[in-house]
Amino acid sequence: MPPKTILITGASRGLGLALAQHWAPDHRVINLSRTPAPASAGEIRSYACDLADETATLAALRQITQDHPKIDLLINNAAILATVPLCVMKTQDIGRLIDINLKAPILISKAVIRKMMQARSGQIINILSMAPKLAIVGDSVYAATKAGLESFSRVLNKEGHPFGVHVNNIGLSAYPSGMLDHVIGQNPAKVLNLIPHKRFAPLPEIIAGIEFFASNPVDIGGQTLHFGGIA
Amino acid sequence: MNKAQLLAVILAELQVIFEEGGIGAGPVAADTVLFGDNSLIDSLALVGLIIKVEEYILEQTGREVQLIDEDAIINGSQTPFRHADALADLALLKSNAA
Repeated sequence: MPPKTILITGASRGLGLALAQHWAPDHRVINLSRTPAPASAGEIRSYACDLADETATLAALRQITQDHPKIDLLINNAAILATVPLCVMKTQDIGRLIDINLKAPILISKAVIRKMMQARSGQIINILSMAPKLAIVGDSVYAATKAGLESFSRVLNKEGHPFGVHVNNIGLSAYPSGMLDHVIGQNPAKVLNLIPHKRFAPLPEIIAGIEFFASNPVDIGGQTLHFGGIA
Repeated sequence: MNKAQLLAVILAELQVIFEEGGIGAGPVAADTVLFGDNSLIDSLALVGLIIKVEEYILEQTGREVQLIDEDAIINGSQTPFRHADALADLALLKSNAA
């Protein structure tokens, strides 16, 4: 992939951090998350904000787009998971899931796609989940946010296409770090048994999937690449 | 920032849209129709033009304006998006009010 300016949300840990570390040596990588990426991760420019805080998110986006007027690739990766049956889920947790998993990527996409449309190029990749496909008990709100993000991306892709901007998705099965830490604990089988391929999504294939979208900027859009044998 | 500058930005972007879309309608001008009957550009191209103007205002003044609002939409045939000159008027009005 030729050198790009890449904005990744939630790149202070988990998959986001792994992606940022991978690209940092050859690309300008920007992280938007509550905490900065660790210094040991390489040259990653971090902008701090709680993505559930609309005002803080918009302020951070203003700063990012001012500092980096041309963003080539946006990866909406940040998400939280609360696996609790809806009937006993706290109302504030419902709001936070929707704010971070759905509203924030919409706001971020809006800020970034405006610049991409003017530049007549750009790619937005959303990290989705197996939850909507597998209808996992306890993930009703989480699955709804991810399904909503997929619908959002298909429409946004149509709006971006005339300007050379495309939106695609990575339908992640599970990545064994970050958000899933507290779910997996000492028992990875709890998650692996849900996945047809019975394995975590390998980082090189996730990178390959993203780079495939990023390197085909003309007509591939509105697609979701599913991992783990999920269809 | 004055109306002439805004109009120049609008016409320059319109020229790009015409060239990209292969629209051979002669030179763009203040009365080039942007919306409704006789418009030569589609609605998404108009959206791109509006973004260009909003971003120009932000760069020049630091003010964030939103050119599309309920008033603009419900004005029907008197929409401020009907031609380039009207869009420049709207942009200046919104910028000064921001």
